[in-house]
Amino acid sequence: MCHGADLSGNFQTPSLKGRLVASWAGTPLSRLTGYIQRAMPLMAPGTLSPEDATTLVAFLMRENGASPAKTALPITEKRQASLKFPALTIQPDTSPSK
Amino acid sequence: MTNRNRNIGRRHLVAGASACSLVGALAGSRLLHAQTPSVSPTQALTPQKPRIRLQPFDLRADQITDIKVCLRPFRPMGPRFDVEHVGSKLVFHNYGHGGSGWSLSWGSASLVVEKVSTTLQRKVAVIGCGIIGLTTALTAQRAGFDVTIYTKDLLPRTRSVRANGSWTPDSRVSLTAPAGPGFADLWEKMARISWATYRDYLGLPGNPVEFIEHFVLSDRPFNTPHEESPDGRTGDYASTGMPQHGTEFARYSDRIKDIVPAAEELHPSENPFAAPYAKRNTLMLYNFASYGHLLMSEFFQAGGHVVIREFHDPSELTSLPEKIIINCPGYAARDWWNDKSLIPVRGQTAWLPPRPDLPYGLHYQGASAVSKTDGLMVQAYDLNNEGEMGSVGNSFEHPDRSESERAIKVLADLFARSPLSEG
Repeated sequence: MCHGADLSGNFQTPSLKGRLVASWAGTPLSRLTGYIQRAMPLMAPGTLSPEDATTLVAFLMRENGASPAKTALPITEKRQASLKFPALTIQPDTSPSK
Repeated sequence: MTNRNRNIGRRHLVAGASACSLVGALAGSRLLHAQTPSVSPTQALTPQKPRIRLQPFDLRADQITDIKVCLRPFRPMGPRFDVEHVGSKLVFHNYGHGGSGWSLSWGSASLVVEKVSTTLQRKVAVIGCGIIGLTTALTAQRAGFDVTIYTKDLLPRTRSVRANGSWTPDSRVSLTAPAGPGFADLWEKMARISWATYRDYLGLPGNPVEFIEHFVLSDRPFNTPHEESPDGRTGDYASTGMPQHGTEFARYSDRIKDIVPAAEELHPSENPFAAPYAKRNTLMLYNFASYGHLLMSEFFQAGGHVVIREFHDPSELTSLPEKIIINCPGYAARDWWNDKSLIPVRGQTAWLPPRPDLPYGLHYQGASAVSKTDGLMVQAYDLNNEGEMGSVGNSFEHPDRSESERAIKVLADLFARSPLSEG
């Protein structure tokens, strides 16, 4: 609801695409999961389970262009600490309609 | 007030009134007040005056151009000013000013920079570029520091510009008991430094800071005590960890009444509004667009640097080149510094097209309209008569259009009934 169905946000609410990659690339996933659990949703922070927050992290990576892995993201903080948010680059648009 | 036409009747002094006669009038007013408390001494003794001429605001919901929501970073014990080590870095905190960040910004910055100066360092990092971060950065520059601001967003997108932007130095800045008497002294120092610094921004092109005429209107005499609607809350901050009643919030304004212009009660003959009781004062405003651009320009002209960066954990500060860090994140401290002492207090303003030709503002029945250079700002600051408790703990940072429309209606109805709308 807050960030919009297409995750593009609005003037007051940050987009979850684009700048999100710049802000989080190279950061341990445990930190992003922890942030989401601690701070989001803004009107009810602290209400998401580690499983929900991890699902959101996987969703954010997919929406920002990360390739799916063969296995699901681990839930535990320790295992997430060794995984980093990927640096993603925009691929040239090769569609014929451009 | 430069660049803005003034067509409001200014305060009229009785011609020929001497200092002695004013003293006599004051003494008499106290006597009369004691005998007939329901009659305002000002109304009883002030001779009839011509009605103040005002042009009404065009208050209609279909004129809304923007609705902004902010979360005031309220801490019951007052703003955070302690110093912490993070690895080899020294972090000076400067956040949690509640509804008084704009008003106290320069004073708060000054106190922190005084402390930072004792480190004998030359380079300083400031985290955050809201009004606290920006004034802190400028104050540090003026004290001789090389300053880099690290921030997620610049002023047009920070929470600071979603505030109301007027002189409200003790608006939910602390609770009296947990803040203690020491904070009252500190508050006074900050308020005086800020007030004096703001004088340096008056009368400039674009009105970054200005005074406007402001009316506080009431259906009841001003000397009747304010009673909040009962809400079933019991206990207090000490017993529940949250404020439970408006009386817990600190009020310090009396400490600086020697420098802030007093309100005067209007005689019924001069009151242009349909509300039976009216006060007039002058209100200091911060016009976000011109003031924000001016502060950014000053920062760059003095050699400041800005780095757009988002921090996720205090340990990330160890990667900065500066050893000294001033932490000014506002409400974001709740997440980024994991400071759960911050209590959100939601505030919403609706913006209608600017009316620089009508430089006044008014408060009535929990709704306010204030003419700023970047828009006519309408705020539902207390439509439900909750007093200071309104929106405490509410972190819903999304516009509620119906709230703004209610405030617009309250004031539009007032204007429709008011004599100023006749002829």
